[in-house]
Amino acid sequence: MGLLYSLLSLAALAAFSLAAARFARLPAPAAPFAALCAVMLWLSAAGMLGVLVPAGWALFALAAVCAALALAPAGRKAAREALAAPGFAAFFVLAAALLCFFAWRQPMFTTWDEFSFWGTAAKIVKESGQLYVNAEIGWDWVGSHRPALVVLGYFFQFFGPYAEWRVLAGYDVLLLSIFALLTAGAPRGAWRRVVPALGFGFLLPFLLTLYGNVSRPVDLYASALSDIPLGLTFGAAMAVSYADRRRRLWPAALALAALCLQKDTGFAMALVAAGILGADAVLGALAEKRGARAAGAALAKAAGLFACCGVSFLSWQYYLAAASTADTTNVGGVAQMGMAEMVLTGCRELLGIGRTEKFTAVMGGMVRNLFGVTTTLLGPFAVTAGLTVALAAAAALFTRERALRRQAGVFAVLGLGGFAAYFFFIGLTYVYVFRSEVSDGLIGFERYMYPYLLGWLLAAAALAVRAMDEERPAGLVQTGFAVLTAGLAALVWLRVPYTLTCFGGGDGVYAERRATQALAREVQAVVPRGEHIFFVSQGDDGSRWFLYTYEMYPWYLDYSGRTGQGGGGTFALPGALPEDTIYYHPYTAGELWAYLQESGCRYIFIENCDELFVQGYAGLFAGGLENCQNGPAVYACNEAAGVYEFVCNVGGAA
Amino acid sequence: MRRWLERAARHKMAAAYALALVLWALCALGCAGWDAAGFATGRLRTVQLPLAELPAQDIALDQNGNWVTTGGDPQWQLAPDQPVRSVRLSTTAPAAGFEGYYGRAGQAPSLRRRVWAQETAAGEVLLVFPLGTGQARLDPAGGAGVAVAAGAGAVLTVNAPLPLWQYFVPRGAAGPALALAPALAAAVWDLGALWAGLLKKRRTADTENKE
Repeated sequence: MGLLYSLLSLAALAAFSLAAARFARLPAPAAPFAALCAVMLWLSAAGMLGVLVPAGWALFALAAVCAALALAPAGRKAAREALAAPGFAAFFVLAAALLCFFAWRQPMFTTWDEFSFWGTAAKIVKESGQLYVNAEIGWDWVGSHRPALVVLGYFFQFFGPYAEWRVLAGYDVLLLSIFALLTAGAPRGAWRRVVPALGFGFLLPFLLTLYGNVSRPVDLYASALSDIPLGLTFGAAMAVSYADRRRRLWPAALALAALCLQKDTGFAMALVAAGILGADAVLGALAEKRGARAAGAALAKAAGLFACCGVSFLSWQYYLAAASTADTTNVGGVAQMGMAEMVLTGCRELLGIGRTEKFTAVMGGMVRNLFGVTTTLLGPFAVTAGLTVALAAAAALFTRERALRRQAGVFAVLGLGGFAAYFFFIGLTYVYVFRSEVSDGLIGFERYMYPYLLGWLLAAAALAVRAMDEERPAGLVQTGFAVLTAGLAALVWLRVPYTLTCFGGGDGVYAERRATQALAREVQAVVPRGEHIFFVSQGDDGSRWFLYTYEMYPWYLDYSGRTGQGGGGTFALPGALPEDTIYYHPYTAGELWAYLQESGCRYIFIENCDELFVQGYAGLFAGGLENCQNGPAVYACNEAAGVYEFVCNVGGAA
Repeated sequence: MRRWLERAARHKMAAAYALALVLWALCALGCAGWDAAGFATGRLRTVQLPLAELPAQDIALDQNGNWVTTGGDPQWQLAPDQPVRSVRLSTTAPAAGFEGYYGRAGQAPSLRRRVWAQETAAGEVLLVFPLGTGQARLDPAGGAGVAVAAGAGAVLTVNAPLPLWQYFVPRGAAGPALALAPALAAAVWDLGALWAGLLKKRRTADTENKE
């Protein structure tokens, strides 16, 4: 039934897309992306206002109205025209096929960040019908990441039960809509343009997030992390404008607003995109000599783009301030600076004023990484930047359309500037925010850089595809782009074994997840909902705690430790381990008992017990901890006796 | 015929996928026929290989008479004196954990030549290998301590005849090929038509200029 309900969501998207194509005269292949951005904004706003579920019903009611309009005799012509656009038809065929495939394949979350936030947030929203900021969950912090992608997953499982594959499919449908908008100008039957455009988009995540010969399973297209959708939405915000010969900016404004609600760094990228599009609008009005009024209107539209970014970005800040205790002004980190202070300090050091050794080391390392370290299948990030500029240059050189030449030039110049600014901004976070063990090794450098490059390269491809409309000489850009895409496809095929992807991989990669899922169900079966559960898994670095927090929700898994030092770890008597042991909880038996009583944890789930735990705390358990030798166990508090009593073993040991 | 070709040219994508499905069906029938001929001529034989006689790694018989994985990369090697088309095993482990590597005789295992097991009945897994498989490797559930078969006399059944529908299931690289090749073909076809048109246009223009 989950498949049918998700197909219903896809049908709603189709209805919105047909309405956008008919009433807003948007190019049909660009309509699904615009519609999804509108959905993300609608549900994000509704979530912030506390009316997520009613807003969802309103959305599907509106979809029914749009569907009725599309099927009515007056709307059928527009619907037929939309379906005749190969990119539009291809999008819905591929999206439906993807939903069917995921319903059969049942991909699951596999990475730490999916359990520490993205996946858990999706589950919270579905199960509670509200955003996650004030969720009843054992996090010791406020979930302050932005909601657009989380509510996107909610849209695709508004009806029916929660399922991870439905969240993952929602993300992929967004990506497919972005690839489809690259085909916006392709006439009917022009598969020589549509197939390379879709293929180029599909290959981008492989090209920019992997490197070398891949020998481990990759979770591309089966991940709830935000980096890839963020980067591609950044590119799509520009591409949706380039794909529209009328060069309207409102679809881009929708995309930029959605981008600002996907992740904090989306705001920086949105400003770059707004700058590029705004400059293009103003320069276009001046170059085409449409008069001062037109130039003023273009300037106003450019300002409107920035306003959209600001309103969207700040809306979440205000919501957090009103709804939670999160400090939204401080970027945190080692320097405890505000955002503006960080940028100003960084600019001063860049100019040599009070430059620190750390600044020099970090920036120097980043530049070396940019040019000398292989971080993509194409080589260093500099190669990707070069390919982007080359595509834009090709679009400018091989088109007869003057407006496109100007657009490509503005894109290349300002895009490079934007890249430099983004690169500098990431460097500042390494200098002022991250701990030294992270900044010394530039840990995560690739992950912070590739979103910008993904979007930038996608937008360059949109320019190249647009150039095919009026290319000179005829056939050159179409053939060149097809050959380029074929070459990139061959590169991916040679470096990434098909059986390591979510499309060709086996179920074995989810074996452990299925085991922990089954174990969590057994715990839920014996613990009444609403009770707090204390978690023990000796040797845990936090990953088991995050995993079970997710699996058990909406059952409440306690933070299981003191503020800032819980969420997994090793419990032992003081002195049993060196004090600086990571994730060591040095409790006496009395302290542990007091914590359990204060936190209201009437149940304890011991996934992994060891000698240290037995030596320290066996006295708190009736009969000691002998039952833990049989495997994971659940204990319940007998307050009168002042001990925890054995309930059952779980996970096959029962 | 000409009308069919003109119609196909107007609907290249549909024509390419239709052709791909027809070719796939013919290929599947051809493989089924080839295997049937193999069984008839003795090139293929259904044999039962005792697990105890197979070269193994990280798998051992425990004191209870169960085959249990003992390390992180358990595997059984198969190099019979005939092509390997399928392997069946009765097992207590979930089918999801089983995978098979295949290749020509002497070829090293590769992540690119890998198939996944199916559960054909309760407690039975099946792996089907492509034509040309001279040797195979069966990797049961990974990790130590997993019971994968019961009894010292447990056997693998190699080359049990497959039901006809199994030949229509794309395996390995056949899956993406079936999904993507028609789209690529349609794109190449369309590009070829574009260049044919452009060249024809140029020839016509050249002819007109000469006149």
